[in-house]
Amino acid sequence: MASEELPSQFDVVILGTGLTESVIAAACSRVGQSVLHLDRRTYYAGNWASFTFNGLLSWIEDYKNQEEVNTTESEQAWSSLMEEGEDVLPLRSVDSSISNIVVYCYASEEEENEEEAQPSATSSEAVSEETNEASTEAQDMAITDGSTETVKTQNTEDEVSEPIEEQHDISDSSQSQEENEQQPIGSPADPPVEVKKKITYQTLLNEGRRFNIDLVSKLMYSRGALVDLLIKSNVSRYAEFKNISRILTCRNEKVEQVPCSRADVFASKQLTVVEKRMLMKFLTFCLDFEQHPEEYQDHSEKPFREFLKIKKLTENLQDFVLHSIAIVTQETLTEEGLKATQHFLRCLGRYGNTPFLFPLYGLGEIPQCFCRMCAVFGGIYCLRHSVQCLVVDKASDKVKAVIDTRGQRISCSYFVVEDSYIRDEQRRSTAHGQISRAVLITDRSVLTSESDQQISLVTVPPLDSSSPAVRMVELCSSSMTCMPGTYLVHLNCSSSNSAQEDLAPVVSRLFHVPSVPGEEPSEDPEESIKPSVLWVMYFNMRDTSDLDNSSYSLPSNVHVCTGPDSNLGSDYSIKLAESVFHQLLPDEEFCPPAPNPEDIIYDGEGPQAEGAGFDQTNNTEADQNQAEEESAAVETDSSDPAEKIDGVAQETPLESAQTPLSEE
Amino acid sequence: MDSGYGVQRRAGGGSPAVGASQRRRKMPPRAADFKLQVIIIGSRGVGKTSLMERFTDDTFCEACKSTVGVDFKIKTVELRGKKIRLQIWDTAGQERFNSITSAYYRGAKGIVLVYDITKQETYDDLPKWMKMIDKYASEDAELLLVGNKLDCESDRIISRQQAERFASRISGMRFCEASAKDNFNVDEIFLKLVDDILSKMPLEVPIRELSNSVLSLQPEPDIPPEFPPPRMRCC
Repeated sequence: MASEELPSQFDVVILGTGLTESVIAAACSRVGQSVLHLDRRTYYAGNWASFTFNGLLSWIEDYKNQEEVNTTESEQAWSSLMEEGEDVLPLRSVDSSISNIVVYCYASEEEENEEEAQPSATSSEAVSEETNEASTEAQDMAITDGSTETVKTQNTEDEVSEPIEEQHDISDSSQSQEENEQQPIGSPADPPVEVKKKITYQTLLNEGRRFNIDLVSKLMYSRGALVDLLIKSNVSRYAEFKNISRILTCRNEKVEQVPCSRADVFASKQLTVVEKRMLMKFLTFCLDFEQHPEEYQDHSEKPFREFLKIKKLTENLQDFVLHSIAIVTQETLTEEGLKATQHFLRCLGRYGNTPFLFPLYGLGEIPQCFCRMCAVFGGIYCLRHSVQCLVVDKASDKVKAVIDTRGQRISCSYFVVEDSYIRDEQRRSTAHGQISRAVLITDRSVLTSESDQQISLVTVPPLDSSSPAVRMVELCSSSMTCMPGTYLVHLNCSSSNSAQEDLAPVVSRLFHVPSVPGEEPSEDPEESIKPSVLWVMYFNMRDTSDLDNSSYSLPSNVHVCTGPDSNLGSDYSIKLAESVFHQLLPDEEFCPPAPNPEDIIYDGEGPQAEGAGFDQTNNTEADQNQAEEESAAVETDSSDPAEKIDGVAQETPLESAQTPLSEE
Repeated sequence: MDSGYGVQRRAGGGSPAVGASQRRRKMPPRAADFKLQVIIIGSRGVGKTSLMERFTDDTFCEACKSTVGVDFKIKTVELRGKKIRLQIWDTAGQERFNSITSAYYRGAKGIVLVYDITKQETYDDLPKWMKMIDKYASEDAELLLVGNKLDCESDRIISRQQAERFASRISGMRFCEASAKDNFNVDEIFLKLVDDILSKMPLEVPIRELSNSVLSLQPEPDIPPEFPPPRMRCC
């Protein structure tokens, strides 16, 4: 496509397409500001992005191959674009928010088709083929960001070594082979052997596009700031969601369901009758705790976990409430803990049995949805496009323009930028917290049940009070984040060390981690019910959420977007977006509802709309004025008046596109 | 294509200020049996928005250069005895700098890929669009290649045969040429696309397990009494 020139002036230039930046972009565009939204990457959502399996592998490569661009030459070019009284402020070209990337592949490197049952094949043939194809060398592909060496052992198909025999001794997926070894006496009319097709590394690569692997691990509270904003702004119509169907915890090395609703509590087999009563009483109190200040005010300076002890909850219940309901840290104080518990309870039942939702195709969709809203209202989008430097007016210490990576000077009144683009020279402190992350592809759920299509939140209480609790989200294939027959598991905790050090112990507790690729779990009953890890990636992500404007020395019309944070919900990012928006445009409304095109039915005989334009109005009278205002506000090339069309009530959106509305 | 496809147009219109009270007395239309999402992609300026607007509004605006403020448009059609609410999405201009979101492709049951028969580069861009489709769109999405601006026959650069060859190499992709300006073939192509989508769908969609349901967040609308919302509640 011919390279197009960008307009040379915008009200707001935004760099980075993470959640916060994208919400700001949508909000600004929505109220009529001209927005240029850029991202240096080839994909949207920055550190909130999700990747296909193959995409993630490329991302890992690209990440370690990044190079800071030398600006000395460019600086010459910039000076020709500058005027008197202006200064430049260069930005970073390399992202260093991710570190300690380590990948282990445990899926066998065998050719896929060798695994299929071949009852008619002769046993010896089958055995020898398998022997030749099986790779047995350690598959550890440790890719760290520091070095440029990729330690990856290549296995040729001809290699055969001893441990193969061991592998094939193990039952399960080598069932076909066993069958063959027994020399089927029966005729080919024997029913074919039912073999669970083993998932090899090649399978993962072939089906790679079925994976949508998020860098961030979060869930959406059904009454949290994100869901409320999605609904308010109507951006929700760009995405679909699924319920988290259950909440689990790891107790005494067993994975168990956490009761959260009243019915769950009563039905729970893990709680004694006394505990049930105790828990119900406590939760009922939490639901409107502010009405009973005498119950907690004395303890407001104490940590919530102590408060739970004081309230005489059993240890079991303390763990449940702290880690699986409030989902707060050991240090969180009482009032915050109560608020979090209350929030959880209030979110129950809005859409399902747990407080949480998850977007179909992964969290990386959400920033994109806000970007779309921005585009619909005129925002211009450029990926693979960044800003080299800011042009600052010395007298006012304000940014007047940016110089983009094509060397074009673009004026703007405001500049909004994601933290990773800021150089160290502009930071008052370079100390950061980190988030430890792990992403696993597994073959089974940690807790099997009648349905294999569950999305589960698993909270793993810390083994000792100094380590953080680990949160895990297990996604099934119908969340459109992994291929059928697998689960995508995300682990998350605040970092004490590298992600691998922080999370590998939990991974080993809950999953079978093969010592050799393709290895099946042992006969030991405890091991064999655990899901096997096919592939795992560990990484640390910088947690900039404790930074604010005072942490940077930047011109006053530059606003930095920090995050993602390590909390389960996204309230932090949404609140930050709203706060930045109000600093930019204090008199404007934040993401008012966009008229809903679904409410318009095209009526053939009436006056017709001409040209592009927001010629859609909402049905209700209340929205009428707003809609008229909006139609006027969105300028298009067409000068024809927007059509005001009659509308009808929106149909129920609770079904997906395929399902007939009348479902009986 | 024959005109056997019924295209529903409902009477009404007029300024809302006048119509407001009249609206309240109107009967809500029978709810659609299906809701289908179709996206339009293609390089800038090929006429994506024009094709959509010709189909949905029966309008054409020569002066309109860029798409601002168009999110999606709805048209209800009747095919195979079913009433289908067709939701046609526009790119919101994000193709201008090659920055269409991957999210745009999700959920689309039909994809209309448009090029301009008078502009070589729009045809040369087709493999790039196919790459995006392969990467992000559902495998079951019906594909339709449209060579637009047939009204500019005298400026034609891309021959019909060329494009037919391109489409034939992609399994299941249909091809035709159209003109949004002259309203030639526009209805037919969308209806044919919907028909193709329907022909692949089971007529009676099984009720899914509640735990498996895909949700939208939008607030509960007014539902006609015969269609109570399938709501999940905790006891």
